[in-house]
Amino acid sequence: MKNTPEILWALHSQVEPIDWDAVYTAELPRVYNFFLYKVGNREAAQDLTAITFERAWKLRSRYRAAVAALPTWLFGIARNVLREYLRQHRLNEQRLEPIASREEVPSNFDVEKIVQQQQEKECLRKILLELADREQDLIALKYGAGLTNREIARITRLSESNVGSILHRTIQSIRTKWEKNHG
Amino acid sequence: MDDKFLYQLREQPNTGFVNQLRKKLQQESIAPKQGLGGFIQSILSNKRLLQAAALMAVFAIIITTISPARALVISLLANVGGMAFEVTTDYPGDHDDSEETIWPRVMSVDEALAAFPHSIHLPAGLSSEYVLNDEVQVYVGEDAGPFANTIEFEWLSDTNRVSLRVTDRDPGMAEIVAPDALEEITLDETHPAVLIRGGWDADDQVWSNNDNWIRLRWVMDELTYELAGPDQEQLIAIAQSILK
Repeated sequence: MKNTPEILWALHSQVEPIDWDAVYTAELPRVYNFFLYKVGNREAAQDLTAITFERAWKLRSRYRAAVAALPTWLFGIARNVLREYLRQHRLNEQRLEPIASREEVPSNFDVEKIVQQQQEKECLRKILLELADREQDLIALKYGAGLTNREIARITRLSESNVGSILHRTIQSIRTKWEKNHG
Repeated sequence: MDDKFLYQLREQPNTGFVNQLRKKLQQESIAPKQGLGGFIQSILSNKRLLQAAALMAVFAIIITTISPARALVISLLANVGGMAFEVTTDYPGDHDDSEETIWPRVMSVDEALAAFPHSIHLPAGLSSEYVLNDEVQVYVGEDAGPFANTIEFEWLSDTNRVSLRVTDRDPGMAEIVAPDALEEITLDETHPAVLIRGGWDADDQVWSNNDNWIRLRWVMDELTYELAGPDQEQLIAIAQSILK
């Protein structure tokens, strides 16, 4: 069954046309970060984001708010794009390219602090990339894309409580490994 | 649970990339806008066209302010037998080549029933001329994407085929159908159902009311069952055997 906000969104969008420019502004960082969490590679995340939006733009006249909320629709496309990409590329080597290698360094930088932050990010990324696909997917949707458990449930076709419990277990497992490295 | 550390990989996408992609998407959208601009200009330069445009504007105001008229114009969202349908005469478009085709796994009946995450009822009302095909199509797991969890059986006779598709997909996911395609019936006191006749014809881009292929859909135990075959009475009898 659809929940009330989705029904309201569906009714609203039947009357009001969708502001696709606003959709772009709001959703692009979420889609980009979803990919960044999944592939751990900035260039690949940009490529995949571009493919997702190009495909979404091409299909947007066929978007039906009554059928799926916009994030569900958009992340459905994003996950298909990712699946195709992973099938075409053996991504494991690319994933491990340091994500912070091209980060800008402020003029008054604290070398020690920056190195530590980069090491922490690298460590976290490695932990995430070692996760099973489903767990990695949920983490990317939750912490990369910033989606709610309900939105994730609709995208992944899992129940909301199932999403909550998988995330809980996964975060505990990540935390254990994280603390082991930083303990 | 403290999970703040998990946000640290998040970052703002590169501004150059964001602007470049926005520009590319806008450029792809410009063509129809320019066409519309030219159309408006030609209307303004032609008195008759201007009058016609004024009449169209009045018509547009009427249909958007008077709700019964508006309901006729916007494709209707209909609830038939507890299931949602979008009713329209407009052809919904072809499958896009860029969309990924999701293929089912093919399993034996026993394997399929074990793989499907719900307990389901199979029909008992098929005559002996029909044989259950032991190649069952199953959509389960992450690869099944939006089709998970769906299972499809088929029974074959020398001349006919009957299929049964069961899914836990939300019955509120509206299928796009033509206005004359639906008929609500009841299978028993607690199970309304809908008969769907025909389907979209991709060649002529219209709904084809092909009586040789009828679907019968209903919801039971939070699963959507859909039988398909050429004989309406046979489908209803099979459906009723599934309810028992």
